Amino acid sequence: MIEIKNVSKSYTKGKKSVDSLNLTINNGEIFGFLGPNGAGKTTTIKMITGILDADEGEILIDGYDIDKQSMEAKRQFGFVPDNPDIFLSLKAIEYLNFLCDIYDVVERENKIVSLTKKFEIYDVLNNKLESFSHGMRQKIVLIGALLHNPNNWILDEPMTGLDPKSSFDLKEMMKEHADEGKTVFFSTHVLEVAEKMCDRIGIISKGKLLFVGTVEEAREQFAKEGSLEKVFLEITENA
Amino acid sequence: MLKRIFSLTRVLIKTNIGAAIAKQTVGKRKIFTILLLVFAYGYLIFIAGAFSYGAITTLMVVNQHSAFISLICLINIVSSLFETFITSSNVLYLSKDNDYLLPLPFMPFEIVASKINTLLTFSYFSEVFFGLIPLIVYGYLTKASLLFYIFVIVVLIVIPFVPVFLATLVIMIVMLFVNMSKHKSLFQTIGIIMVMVTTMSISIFMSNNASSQQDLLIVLNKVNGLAQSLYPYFPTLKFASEALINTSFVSLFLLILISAVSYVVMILVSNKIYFKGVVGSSSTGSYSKKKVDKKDFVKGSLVVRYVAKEFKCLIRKPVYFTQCVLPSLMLPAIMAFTFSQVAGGIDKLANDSSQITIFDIGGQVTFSVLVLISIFMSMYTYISITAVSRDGGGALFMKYIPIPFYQQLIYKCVPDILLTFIPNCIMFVFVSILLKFPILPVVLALVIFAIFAIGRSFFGIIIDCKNPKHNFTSEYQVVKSNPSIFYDIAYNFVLLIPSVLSLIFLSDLPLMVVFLINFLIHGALSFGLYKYIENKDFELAQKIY
Ligand SMILES: Nc1ncnc2c1ncn2[C@@H]1O[C@H](COP(=O)(O)OP(=O)(O)O)[C@@H](O)[C@H]1O
Ligand SMILES: [Mg+2]
Repeated sequence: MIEIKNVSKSYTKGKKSVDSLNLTINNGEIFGFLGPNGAGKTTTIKMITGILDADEGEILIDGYDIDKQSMEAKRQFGFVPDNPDIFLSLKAIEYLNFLCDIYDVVERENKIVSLTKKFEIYDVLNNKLESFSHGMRQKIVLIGALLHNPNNWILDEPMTGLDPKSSFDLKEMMKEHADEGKTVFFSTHVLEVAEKMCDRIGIISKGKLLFVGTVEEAREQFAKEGSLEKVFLEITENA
Repeated sequence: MLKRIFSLTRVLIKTNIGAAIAKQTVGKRKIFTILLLVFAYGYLIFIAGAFSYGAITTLMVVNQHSAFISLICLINIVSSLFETFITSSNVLYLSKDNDYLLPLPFMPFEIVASKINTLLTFSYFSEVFFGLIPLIVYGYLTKASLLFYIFVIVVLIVIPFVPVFLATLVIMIVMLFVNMSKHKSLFQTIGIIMVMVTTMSISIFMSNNASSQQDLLIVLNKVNGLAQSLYPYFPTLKFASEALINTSFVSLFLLILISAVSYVVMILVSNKIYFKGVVGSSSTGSYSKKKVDKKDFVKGSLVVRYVAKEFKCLIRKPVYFTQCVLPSLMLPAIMAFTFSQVAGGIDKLANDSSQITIFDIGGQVTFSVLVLISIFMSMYTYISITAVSRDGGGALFMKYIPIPFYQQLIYKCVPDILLTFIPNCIMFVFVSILLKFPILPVVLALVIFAIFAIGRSFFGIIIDCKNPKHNFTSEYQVVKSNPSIFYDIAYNFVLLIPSVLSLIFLSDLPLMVVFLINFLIHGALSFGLYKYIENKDFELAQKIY
């Protein structure tokens, strides 16, 4: 469970990139965080994961405050950043093994082998991440975030750069994850994904959360018989 | 078109070097950084000037001062040749901007021209020290006319053309045949090691030969002879020297002509071969088919794995290896080698030093001198000061994993501490055995040096956290044009003071007392820095996002 209470953040004085955000994502829920470019999605996710400090408000992950009990809180989630270019000098297997050491993963071999086989990346594990394409790096980072079987899975634009098969697998895994009673929180600008996958969506624009609820509710409230795209445009443009 | 080339050049230069300064928009910081830069460049200018003054006055005695001109021209050609060898593979092939540039609607020709202009500009930077300053000193000492200075400017502008062309040509041809994506690391590393070995041999050559004025003359004459013998191969060297020595318009004209032709040829040729190489360089190569096996899944201790990760990232990336690791290995090696080669032989030196030992009864002078030299020697290790920035996007990783930030900072300091201490330690033990120093002062000096190395590395990482460069576009911004490095150098200079003072004022005290005083100073500082990292964990992490 992720609780965001009255959180604000500004990079430069006077311009709030995230403005008094209130949001609770429940266990067993897939939550899609939608918004145009520069809306504040990445900023929000960085605050949830402890990369950025909120100016105001508090964020709890499974009840642990990311600020005050940061170590416990950080053990409760697996995070996929928007840019998978990290530690490119390491071999894929070294990166994954390193993560296992950090999170004290048990049965690491089983987990690494089964996940990498699922994403069809097992055969190249002995290569440096440097030699991987964007999509392959994305897969490694995704796998790394799942190794310790976290209760909360936080992903920033996870579909970017994935091929259709991997993107399908990822969606399946998100569903499985939620079915086990765990939380999935991801940001995207691909509306179809959100429409098909999400139990609830939140729409953010210019740092303000404009809507939270199911896709159905969004339709009812805004454009009665339109695609989600129409709803999205109407909400964000009228802000 | 010219305008487009010009603006593209400006962008490339900025992304390759300038961004480090440009990014610091905060007023005070920026001024401070600029002051530091001015100080550092001033220092280099001073050295260049002092050397030139010495060399020219020596040569003037025997009325041979025009040899200095050939020497300077040779140095500038060679330095721009080497510099281009080192930087061109980065600017032309490895730089991240290629991924953005290639799809943009620039004509291939414009991209090539801008890249080559960038390389030329790099050469101009070093020409300030190797060319401009020495020649101004020369002009001043020989009371040259205004025309001479105009010639100097023109010559310095055109002289890098040919060497830059030759070096880029070699790199481009090699890149055509080398499978870039597979061998680029190796290739770059070898290139830089070659340059370093050459520099090392030159420095040994100089330190062996240039001990007295007489010797200096011989060396200068040798170099001048070398320059003369190169004339047929480097026509620009001949014309440049003649143009400056005789203020000859004909030579100057020929120099400009050759350079202009080579510039045009350079653009035309590179236009033909550059893009074949560069397209290959960003695509992914073939994969190693080696399967993972059981031992790849072993659980390890977190500290060991973290430090191992730091070492891997440091050593496997050529830019980091050559800029951060190699200098810390090379310098002690040069030192040890020079000592084993000193003129007059080791026996004489050992004899001299044993006389010092008799005079320095307690060993406190030996101790202080060793501490002084070791602090001086560690000035070139830039591992901690870049430890966070080097990770690039990976720097954020530190913040979302459940390991306290300060703990990770300490882990990140380990490679710096080891690479500062171990090579110098080996060197000192080697030299001490050669010179038959008494054991106790050497061991005590190494203890102080170890404490110093730890503190220095803590200091470096604090500076890096306060001024992170992890959003770089090219790794060079982190290791080469990172103003933070000056803080590191300043730290060394400040900490030289206690040793200098103890050499001057404490040499009458017993060794143990001198050691204890040093121990307290360095110990308190290193411990204080450790405590700072531990307590300011939160503040230090603030700028990394
Ligand atoms: N490092 C930064 N410094 C200053 N402003 C930033 C920084 N990162 C993001 N912003 C600003 O914050 C706002 C939200 O950005 P972001 O959270 O990255 O958007 P999204 O992920 O939704 O596309 C934007 O207006 C952006 O310009
Ligand atoms: Mg984003």
